[in-house]
Amino acid sequence: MKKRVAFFGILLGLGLVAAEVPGTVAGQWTGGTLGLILQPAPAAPGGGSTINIGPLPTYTAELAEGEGKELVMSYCSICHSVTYITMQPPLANWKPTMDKMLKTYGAEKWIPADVAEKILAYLQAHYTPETRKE
Amino acid sequence: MELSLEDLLTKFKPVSIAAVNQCSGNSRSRFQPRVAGGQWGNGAMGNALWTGVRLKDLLEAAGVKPGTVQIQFEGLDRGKGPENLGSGRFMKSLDLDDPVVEETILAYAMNGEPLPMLNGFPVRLVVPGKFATYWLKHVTWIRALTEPDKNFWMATAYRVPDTPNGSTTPEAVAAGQVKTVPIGHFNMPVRSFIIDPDGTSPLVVGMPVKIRGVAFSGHGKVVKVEISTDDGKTWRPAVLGADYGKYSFRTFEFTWRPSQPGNYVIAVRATDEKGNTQPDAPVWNPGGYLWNKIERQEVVVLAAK
Repeated sequence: MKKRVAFFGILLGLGLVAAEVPGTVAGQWTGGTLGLILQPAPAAPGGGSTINIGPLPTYTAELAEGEGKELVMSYCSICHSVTYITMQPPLANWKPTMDKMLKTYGAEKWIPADVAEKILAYLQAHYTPETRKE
Repeated sequence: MELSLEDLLTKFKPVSIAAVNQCSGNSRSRFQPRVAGGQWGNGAMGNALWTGVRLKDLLEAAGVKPGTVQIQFEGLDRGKGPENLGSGRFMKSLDLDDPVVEETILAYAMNGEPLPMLNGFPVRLVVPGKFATYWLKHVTWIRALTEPDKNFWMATAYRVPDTPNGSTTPEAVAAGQVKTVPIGHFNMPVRSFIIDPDGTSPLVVGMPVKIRGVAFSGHGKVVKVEISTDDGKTWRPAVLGADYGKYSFRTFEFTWRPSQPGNYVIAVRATDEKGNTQPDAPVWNPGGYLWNKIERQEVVVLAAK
């Protein structure tokens, strides 16, 4: 595993990114505010009405380190980018927002109650006016 | 009636309109007290030349039955949420008797090129003068409704207080006294923005500086833009740029020659053809919508030593 990471590090260091994603080509890319965007491969001739629209921006914010971060990243991003957390103002109480996600938008379907509690604890620990770092 | 993209391209007369697409919550970070939602600065807007088919032509071709009150739009966007909730399907409706229905187009081109995916390929709704929430992307279904749309995105979300400027107070909201309407009942209020100078570099006494920016209004053409270099105490008219149509950005320019060093606050305000002028007071509503207070820019003027 370590070897693989180092290998990728060398590739990135050279400004080369292997074209591992189908429908993209190799090139030199840097991460911008919209995240790393791979270049779509040139269109190939063919029939039918399927249109290749290329990659979409990843647009994902880096969340604060802390207990529950992985839960937030995996559960919240089922429906939306976690950037939706960092683009909020610092909220004193995240409970109404959690309830909106769970009830109004139906996330109960995906998020077990005990996980929801941990997610709320994470948000209170890192994203209130007192606890938010940036 | 079912139409292919080819039908839209070949069987209907193409029309073009320059129009500003602006998020309902543009500038939301200015709200005091703060409200939840994306904390936009002034960047949640754009202007383009849209080309497509008149909604009116489509409705005529399909034939709208008597008793229709709204036209509903839905695109290929789908959320992961349950189908019956706002997180599953995205739909918006326009009142059939809203004058904007006459101007709305189903656009297949942006600035003369096919719509990029993120801008709504293959066709999106362009609703001139209305906020972006109505500009549905990837439009696939257009439905005639015999009663007002009760879906989440009309009945619950994107609602604003039913007051002249959509403003209210946190106290009135807490007391449950606020009657709301869909934000589509409002046209985008008149706004203007200072682009240059941006305060990042000092200006010099005696040297002319061009104060430049853009203005627009959802009510119609911008007819006047005024500049203040004394924080809004006195105003002088700016020169307006090319007129690309009444719903487009309109550029403005004002040459200022500061005569004394010091700190200055530049301000800009626009007036549209309906006589609406930007206020110097903030709005407040729980959604963080409809901001159009006069914009300011602090600048430093240094002596030419």
